[in-house]
Amino acid sequence: MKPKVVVYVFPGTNSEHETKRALEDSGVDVALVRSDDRTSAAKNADGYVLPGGFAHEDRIRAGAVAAHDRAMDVVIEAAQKGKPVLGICNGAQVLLESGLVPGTSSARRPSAAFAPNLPGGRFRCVHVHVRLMIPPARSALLSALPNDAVIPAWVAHGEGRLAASFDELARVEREHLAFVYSAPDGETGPEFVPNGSALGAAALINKAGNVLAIMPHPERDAWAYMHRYDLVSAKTAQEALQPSGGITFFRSFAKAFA
Amino acid sequence: MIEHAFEIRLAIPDNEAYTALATLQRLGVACDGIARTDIHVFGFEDTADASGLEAQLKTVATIFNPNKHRLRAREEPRPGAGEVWVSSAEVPAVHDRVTIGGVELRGVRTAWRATSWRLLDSAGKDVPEAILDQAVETLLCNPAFQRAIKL
Repeated sequence: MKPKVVVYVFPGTNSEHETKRALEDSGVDVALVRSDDRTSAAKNADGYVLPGGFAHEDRIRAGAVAAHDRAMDVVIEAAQKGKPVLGICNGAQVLLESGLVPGTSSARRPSAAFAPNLPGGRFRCVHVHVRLMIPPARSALLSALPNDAVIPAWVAHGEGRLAASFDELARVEREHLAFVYSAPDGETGPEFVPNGSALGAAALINKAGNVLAIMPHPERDAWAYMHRYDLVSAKTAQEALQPSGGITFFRSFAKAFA
Repeated sequence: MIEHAFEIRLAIPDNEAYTALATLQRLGVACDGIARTDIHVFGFEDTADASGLEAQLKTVATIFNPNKHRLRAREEPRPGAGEVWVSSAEVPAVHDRVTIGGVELRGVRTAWRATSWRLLDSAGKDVPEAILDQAVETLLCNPAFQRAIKL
């Protein structure tokens, strides 16, 4: 039987269908569930995904209202039970606002944030690569990836810069830094960071390794035709529909349920 | 550097304030109303003339729409009683020139913005400070990158 994953849809979510498709291709059953759904189906999933978009219109600040949505009661309880939880872009902002990631504070007391980009708080939409910075075995969600895996993805956010106190950033660097922005060959450096993110951080993970918050969208580079135009090598429609690098991320996530 | 503050208030229903109020009430914060205002603070050299700034701000379409906003200068560049300003924790940089929405603001060297929040009781009066602090801690400010400024 396939694992069942709930993809929560908040008012303002906009990436649920791409995320569902990438997950289904990776071998899990997916239910798109509205955040005001209180049925048992929402509560009894094997894992949860918070997709990208602008939950609750990013009112107050990105992720702040959604972090206090009742749907997050379900997600927090699931995370505490060790179920896989993934937040992408706005979903990642929600996970930080909820305190689940990096998880060094109590629930709903954030210790870090994906804050407005630098310079100037501008919205960035660019193709990026992210490199795995922890041993894959550290997280069930990432265990199917090779060491130093490089994943292509698209950045599309105005608030993706990791910000926290110096002490918290030191903790993040030691224990919670899952992916950093990189070159396609895995080289890292400030020139590859599109938003001024501290530590070059693109994704953080909690201590238990079951909750991952990633800012770029791997689901938007899941098939060859989604690549940046100068990366496309497909000569035929068939080639253009082949899986791309982003799908490896979701296939690893799916193996967390094995 | 001398700072001047301006508030830009919505003259139409404020959906964001409504969302904040509903969320705070669900979190158990005892309040019956809320007022939200955008605050813009501009720094001038001590000798600079700031008299034309208010009129100039009214030409910046990205922050002011006369059909739905009301703009006024604040007497002081700091929060009043019963009010909290939530802004970025970063110290504003000093620039040779500051532009907003493509409009260069004459004489302005620093610019930062905040959101002003006031929580109200059923009589429309400011709630006690402890309740405002509770709202700041639970929802209105993320201390990882923001600061809450009170009188």
